[in-house]
Parts: sequence; structure tokens; C-alpha cells
Amino acid sequence: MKSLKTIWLIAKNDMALELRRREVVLTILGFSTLVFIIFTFTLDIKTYESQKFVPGIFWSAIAFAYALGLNKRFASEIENGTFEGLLLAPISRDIIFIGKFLGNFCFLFISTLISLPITTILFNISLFRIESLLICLVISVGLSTLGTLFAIMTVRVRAKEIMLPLLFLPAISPLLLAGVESMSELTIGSNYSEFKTWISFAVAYDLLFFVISVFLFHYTVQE
Amino acid sequence: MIYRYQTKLLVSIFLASIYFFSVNVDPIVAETPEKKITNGFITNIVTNEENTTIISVTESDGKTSNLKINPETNIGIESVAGERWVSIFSEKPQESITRLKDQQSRLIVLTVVHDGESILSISNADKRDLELNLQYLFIVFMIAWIVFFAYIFYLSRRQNAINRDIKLLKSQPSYEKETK
Amino acid sequence: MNRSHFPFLLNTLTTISMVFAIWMVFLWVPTETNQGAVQRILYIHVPIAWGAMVSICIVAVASILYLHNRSAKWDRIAVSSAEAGAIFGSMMLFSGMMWARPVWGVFWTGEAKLVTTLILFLLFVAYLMFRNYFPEGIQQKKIAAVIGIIGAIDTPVIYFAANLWERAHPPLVTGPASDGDSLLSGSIELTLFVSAVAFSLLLFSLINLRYSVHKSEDAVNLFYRNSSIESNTL
Repeated sequence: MKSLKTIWLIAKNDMALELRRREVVLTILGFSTLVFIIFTFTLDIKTYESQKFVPGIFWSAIAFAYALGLNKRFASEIENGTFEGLLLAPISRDIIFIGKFLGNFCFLFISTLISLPITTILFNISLFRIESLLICLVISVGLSTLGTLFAIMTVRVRAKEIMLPLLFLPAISPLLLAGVESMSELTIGSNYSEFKTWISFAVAYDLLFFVISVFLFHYTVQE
Repeated sequence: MIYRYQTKLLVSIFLASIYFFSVNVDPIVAETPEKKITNGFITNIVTNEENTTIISVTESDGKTSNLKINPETNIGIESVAGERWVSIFSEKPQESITRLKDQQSRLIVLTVVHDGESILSISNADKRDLELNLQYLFIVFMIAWIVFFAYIFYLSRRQNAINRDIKLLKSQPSYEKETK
Repeated sequence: MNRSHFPFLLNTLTTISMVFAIWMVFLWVPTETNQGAVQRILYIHVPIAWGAMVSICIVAVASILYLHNRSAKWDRIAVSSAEAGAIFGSMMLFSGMMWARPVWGVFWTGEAKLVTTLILFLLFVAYLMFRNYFPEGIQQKKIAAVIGIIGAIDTPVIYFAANLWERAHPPLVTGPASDGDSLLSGSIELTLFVSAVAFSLLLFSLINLRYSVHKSEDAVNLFYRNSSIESNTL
């Protein structure tokens, strides 16, 4: 019970910081919207073919933007020394990780939810369905699990702007596939049963990497 | 030092591979008295009383040769859909003949490898660009070996440099004390 | 067996088996009727791909053992194996493309195995880049071990996903052998096996060579650090 409270406190702290600075959500939203706008005229996507391209554009823009946002997020924590402070506190490393994960997950989930209507408007495609929430949820969980782990790992690297995407994007590629496939089923109006496999795959992926990340996290931070 | 031999040993593999490559004579490319190549389309397919199938292949200059299909003839041909079908004649004689007749009706150019009498293999000719394929084979083996050698060479240079360093350091009196 | 003779024995064995494998590939095995001469690329491509898979497994096992007992030996094995794996991975991609161009008609398609191997190669590259960019020390080794473990767990997951994805999109493969149902006869199998043994031995001797370089460098670095002599040679 106490650990749950600690997790909530860490996540709440991150969110309060985010509300004041608006670093991550604005980075993700700004970058992904730019990608969408660039693609609308460079690819010259017609309405009838948009369902073929849009899911791929959507998830790759989100993934790139998230890598950017995470970099910013942890760089400022290291600069101010707050992360070291957190590590010094008498809290288990697993709990710190879960707290950080929860914060990052909220940013990503909110950003994807805001990106959905933007995509709908720009590409003339219908994503307003309850299943969209489910897809965004399962994909966001996986992205933020590995994203948090890798961002903490690479924050001290000299070339972290390239290092984080290089680790992050190949590792999450199965999840991106799941997101793209289920969303493209959604855009052509299929039922949930059509992309059930992908959702259950994504859930299994989330669980697997969540357990592994929690288990491996304490090796990645200094003692 | 063993590492002195290392490079030499591996250079010998390299030379051996080039040697084997240059010696290697591809059986399909080489036209020997036992193996002749005919490119043409099938004009006739007959099965006589002794249950042997004879195919008439007409080349582009109008020359027609009658060739016998053996039980062990290799067949690799494409259907209309572009699907490739591979078999040995004795395994599916009936289907082979049906498919060859299909080729005949569509006037597809086939490459027939034969010894003047019976056919060793019969396959679609158009994509069998053997000259080009040999180039690919050559490039792959060349580049692969060059990369492996470059890596081994680089590592042995590094090892030699570090060995020199170690020798230098060992001559210093402080070495024993410091590494403990 | 004397320890100092081990590298020599390994290298000799590698050389002999490699020469034998090359003899089998070029002279002994008959040309496959379906694909012609270009099929001989598979005798180098498949063993190299196998070597890349073996090296990611070695990286993962060595990483787990490193995190478990913190011995520098396992870290050295992991790095050496990752370097050899990156070389094998790049050669695997290259030879695969060179085979696919004449046979499939394209250098690259979005096929499950291709996507998986490309990502595997990227993971090796990321691992090695990380080691180069991170300040040296225990922290670097531990994080690199974590990357190695995640990479090894991720590889089969990626393959599974790519397979699932491929079933939704049948790969657009053109060319004569698009079916790929050639007859894998006994002699082809045997040649492939001998070649796989030879390339596995090559992998082990590369790892061994890299390991000994790494070990000597560590010893020299330790000396310089202890005696605080600035080194210009390293």
C-alpha cells in the first residue's frame, strides 16, 4: 500500500512538473503534428487511400516524437540533479521505475489522444471509436515501458539524441506493427474481432517487457 | 607468437577460395560433348509404345531436335500465374507432360540441357541469366572474405601494438608492483 | 590441453574446415537446377546467418552472467561476440540481398525473416555504439549487458510479430524461384552442414581473437591508471 502511494507520488511530481513546463506533451504533439502536415502534402494522399498510409504515419510520428520528448525529459532531470536525489531516497529501485513509467505513460497517452482528432481532420479519416482508446492504451504502455528504461540508460551518453532512437525504435518495432495493423483494421471499419490478435500480442509484449524492465532497471542506475 | 601464423593461415583460405572459384566450372554454363544446351520452344510432345516421351524442340533458327525424356530428367517450369513447379520426371510423369504441353501451347522458350539424345534438365530460359548470376556469386564471396580479412587484420594489428606496449611496460621496474 | 595452445588449435581447425567447406561449395556439390549458380550463395549466407544468431545468444548469456557475478571476463566475451555478430550480421544482409536480386527480382522485401535480421543487426550496432559513447566503467558494462539481454529477448518477439504481419500482407515476390520449393537433396544438406560448422568455428576464432586483444588492452589500461602515466600510444 505504501509502495503504491510512493509510485503515485513520483508520478504526480512528474505530472506537476509537466503542467508547469509542458515539455514532453508539447514536444510530442508539436513534432507529430508537423510530421502529419508534412506528409499530407509531400505524399499527396487522397482520401480513398488514406487508410493505407495513415496508421503507419501516425505511429511512426508518435514513436519518433516520443523519443525526442523522453530525451528532453530526462536531460533536464539530470541537469538539475533531481534524479540523483530520487535515487538517494530510501525507496526501492523498482518503485522508482514504476513511478517514472507511470508519469511517462500519462504524457504519451494524453498526446496520442490529442493526436487522434488532428489525424482525423488532416487525413479525412475516422478514428473516433472506442477501440481507438484501447489501441492507444496498449501501445502507449509498451512504448513508455521501454522508453523509460532506455531513456534512463542513455541519458549520460554523449550522442544521446541518436542513441535513444537507435535502441528504442528497433526494440519497439513489434509494437509499432501491432499499432499500425490494428489501426488500419479500425479505419476500414472492421470489428474488434478482426484485430484481436494484434491487441493480445501487444498486451503480451507489454507484460513481458514490463516485467523485464522492472527486473533490469536497478542495474542501469548508479549505486 | 601464434598470432603471426593466424594471418597467414587465413590468407591461405582466401587464396584457396579464389583458386576454387577460378577452377569451378559451372555444369549448366559449360557446354561439353556430354552436355549440350538448346534454347527453343516445344513443337511436339509424343509418348510412344515403349512409354518413352519424346519432345521436339525448335530453336530460333528453325532447327528442330527430337529429345527423349529420362525418368531422372529435372523439370523446372513456370505456370501462367508465374508459379514455379519443380520435379523429377519419374516422380510425376503425368503432371510433367501436362505442364510441358501448357508450355507448348503458350510457345514459351525453354532451356533444354541434353546429351544429344536424352534430356538432363528442362527449365524456363528467360530468367536464367547465368552470366549475371555468376557475378552475384563472385561479388558475395569476394566481399565476404574481404570484410572478414579486414577485421582479422585490424585485430591482429591492434594485438601487435598492445603486445609492444606490454613488452615496453614489462621492462619497467614498476610493472609488477602496479598491476597487483 | 595447454591453455596457450587453444587459439592455435582453434585457428587451425577453422582454416582446415573452411578450406574443406569451400571445396565442397565450389567443386563437390552439384548446381541446383532451380536457381543455377547463384544458389551457391546460400552455402555462405545460411551459415553466416546462423553465426549471427549464435552470437546474439552468446551476448545474452554472457550479459546475464556478467550481471550475476560481475566478472570482467563475461563482459569481454559479450563485447567480442557483439562485434563478431555485427560483422556476421552485415555480411548476412549483404549476401542475402545479392541472392535475392537474381532469384526474387528484388534486393529487399518486407518479409518476416528479412525484417527480423535487419533489426537484429541494428541491435548489434546499437550495442556497440552505446559502448563507444558511454563513459567507460562499471556502469557502461552493466547497461550494455541490459541492452544485450533485451536485444536477445526481443529478437524472437520481432520474428513472431513480423510473421503475423506477413500473413496479413503476402510478400510481393517476383522472379523464377518465388515459391522457393526446391529440392533440398542430401548433398546440398551436407554441404550446408559442413559450411555451418566452418563458419561457427570462424565465429569462435574471431571472438577469441577479439577477446585476447580486449584482455591485453584492459591489462595495459589498468597499469596506466594505477601508475597515472599519460599514454600516447593508446
